[in-house]
Amino acid sequence: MITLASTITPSMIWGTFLGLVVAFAIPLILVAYGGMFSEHSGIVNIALEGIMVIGAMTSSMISHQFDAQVKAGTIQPWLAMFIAIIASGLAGALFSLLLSFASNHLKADQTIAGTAINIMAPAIFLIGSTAINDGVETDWITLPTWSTFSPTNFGITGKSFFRSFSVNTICIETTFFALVLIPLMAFILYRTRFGLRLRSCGEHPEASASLGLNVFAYRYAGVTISGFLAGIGGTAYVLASTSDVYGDVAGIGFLALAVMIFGNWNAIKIIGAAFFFAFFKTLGNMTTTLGASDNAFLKALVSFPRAEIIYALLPYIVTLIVLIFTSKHSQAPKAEGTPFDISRRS
Amino acid sequence: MSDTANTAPIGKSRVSTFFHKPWVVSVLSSLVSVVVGLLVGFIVLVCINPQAAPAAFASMIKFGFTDKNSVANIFYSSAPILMTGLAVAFAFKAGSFNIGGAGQYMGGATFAFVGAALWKLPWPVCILLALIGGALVGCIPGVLKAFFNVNEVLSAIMMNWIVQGIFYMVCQSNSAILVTDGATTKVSNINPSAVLPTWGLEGIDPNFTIGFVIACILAIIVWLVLEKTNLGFEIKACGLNKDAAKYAGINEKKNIILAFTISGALAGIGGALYILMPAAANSGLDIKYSGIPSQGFDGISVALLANNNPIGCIFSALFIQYLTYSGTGLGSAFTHKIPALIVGVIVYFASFVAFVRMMILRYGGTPFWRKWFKKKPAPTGGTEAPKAEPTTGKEDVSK
Repeated sequence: MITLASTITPSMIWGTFLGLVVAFAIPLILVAYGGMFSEHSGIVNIALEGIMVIGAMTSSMISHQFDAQVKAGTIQPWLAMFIAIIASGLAGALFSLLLSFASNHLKADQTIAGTAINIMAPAIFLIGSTAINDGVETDWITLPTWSTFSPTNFGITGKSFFRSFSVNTICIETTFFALVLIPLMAFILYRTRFGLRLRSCGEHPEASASLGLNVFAYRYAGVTISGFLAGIGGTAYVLASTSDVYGDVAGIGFLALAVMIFGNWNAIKIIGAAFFFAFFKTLGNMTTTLGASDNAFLKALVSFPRAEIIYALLPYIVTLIVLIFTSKHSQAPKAEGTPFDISRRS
Repeated sequence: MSDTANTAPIGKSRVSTFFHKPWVVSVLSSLVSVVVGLLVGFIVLVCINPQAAPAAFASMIKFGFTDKNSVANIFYSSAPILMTGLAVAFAFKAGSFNIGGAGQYMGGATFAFVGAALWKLPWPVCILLALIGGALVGCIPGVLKAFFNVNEVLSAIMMNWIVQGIFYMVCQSNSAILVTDGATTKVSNINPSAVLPTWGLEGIDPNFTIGFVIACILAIIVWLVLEKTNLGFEIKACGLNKDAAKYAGINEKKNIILAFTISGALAGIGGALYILMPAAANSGLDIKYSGIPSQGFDGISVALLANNNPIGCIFSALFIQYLTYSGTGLGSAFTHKIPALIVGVIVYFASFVAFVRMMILRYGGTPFWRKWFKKKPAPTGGTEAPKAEPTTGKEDVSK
């Protein structure tokens, strides 16, 4: 996952490090935004993890087929990846309909329906990966080599901070999606009529319904947007982390939920929380590389026993502690988790 | 709660009364989920390969019954997921969703493993240690929920990862218990006295330990505690309506902590039942830091399929283990993870069990043709709206 050139300068390590932080933060932000949309509409979306798997499956299958069947990747890698990423978002949105259908029309317990979706997703992934590998039972899908770009495509050469930074950021196409989607989604939620109404459905659906809003429609919209973002987030995660996509995303979906709660359901705070998590997670992942470097400061950061595991655990422990102090004043949408029943008085 | 049994109005047929008994409704709604799940699995098989699908499906169904060893395998392998299922069901009765079964399972397994491998303790002590380990991990989300209002789903998920990391550290620092980089050594290789005894069951299968018996006894104890004791009543009251329970003088904070602690202890025992199995039946514990043991999450399926009834958990654990085991029976034409999909679909349908129950209550006992030919809609049973007993308690807690 982390490969560095043979001669490494400290600035290149910093570049790689910061690049990885960004590369890890982007799926977290996208998926946490997904969770934010869903919860502001009043539905707890614990299925983000499963939706990410479906998104990752769709994009890897499509790019795999582009590579194998039409050789589109070698001609137009940008366009091919663009289609794959959009498709992953759409697949996520479609898959999330399972959750909105169960929680809107069947008044299901949303946590359980979400858990069921999380159970189904890896199984669906295996069916897909077996199909794509000509019916031979395989539990991974190989991404084509052109699915991420090389810095030279952008004219960035030499051994510099910026080059090693760009490997994990602008060479991954989802970064550009994130740059567009993150501000756009924050704008939609806070500055449009749709966003205001969506949030009202999560706070007091009965009041919204009394003003003539179709609460079910808004909840469908919230969960579908959430599925779209989580699908793209799944693609962003696998593009940044691996070339063989397996049917799990290492708990990023749950982590994104934690990021969302840590960020108090607020679009700006979520970004900060995601970078916080990404920083420690990357420290945990890079301990061996950092320990081998010449830089005294970087070495000191990781020179205690079991540093890799302690850094990897730190985000979870810190989240627990932060939750202890913030949960009393949590600004969670009031009606999240409760099925909307138009005939109920509250 | 039990008054739902008598909601069938006077003058209804005996069939209709039968269909309004709570346990009949529960069993029926679980069966509906199972049938739908199997149906979806079959449809997926047909979509993949229409020719081979029926034969493969039939061989999958039969696979669990090929010989007495496979039946025995299903029984003894279902003990851990029965325990995690009980843990989830118990927490559900208290109105909380315990998704931390994996962490509590891991905590129990760690304690049992350290007790068995490092301190060379016999098996009953190891199980007690696992109980303590699981309870310690389990009580943390409960305490955080009771005193700091921390979302228990989230803190439980965090605990899953933290416990997994701690187990990893424990194993890394003791080269004696680590065989390869991927898994721990097996308890039976170090300390045979810690392996669960068979007590005559070895006649059926050499790996058939009393783990399943222990789990069944615990299931009955959990049922007794929930239904026949003050503690169980208080816990259920908190689950049904926290505010009403508080008003009635029940200490709801104490009960939430207690529910999570007991739930964690149950899952922890599950970890011990797995780790103390004979060598052929367990593959050591996976210590990959990235992975979380699947038994913790299987427990959710077990509890939901059983409608959170401890006795029902026995049957649903057997069924889920049977499905998982049957995957290999599908043959080479299909991926062996079809059972996982079926389980997912079953849980998905079990999630709207309230809806399925409503349908059963509305149409159960009334032959469907009568509904078609009648001008007026048939006077359905329970015009006074026999509200189904809420499964999770969440449905009933109004703001």
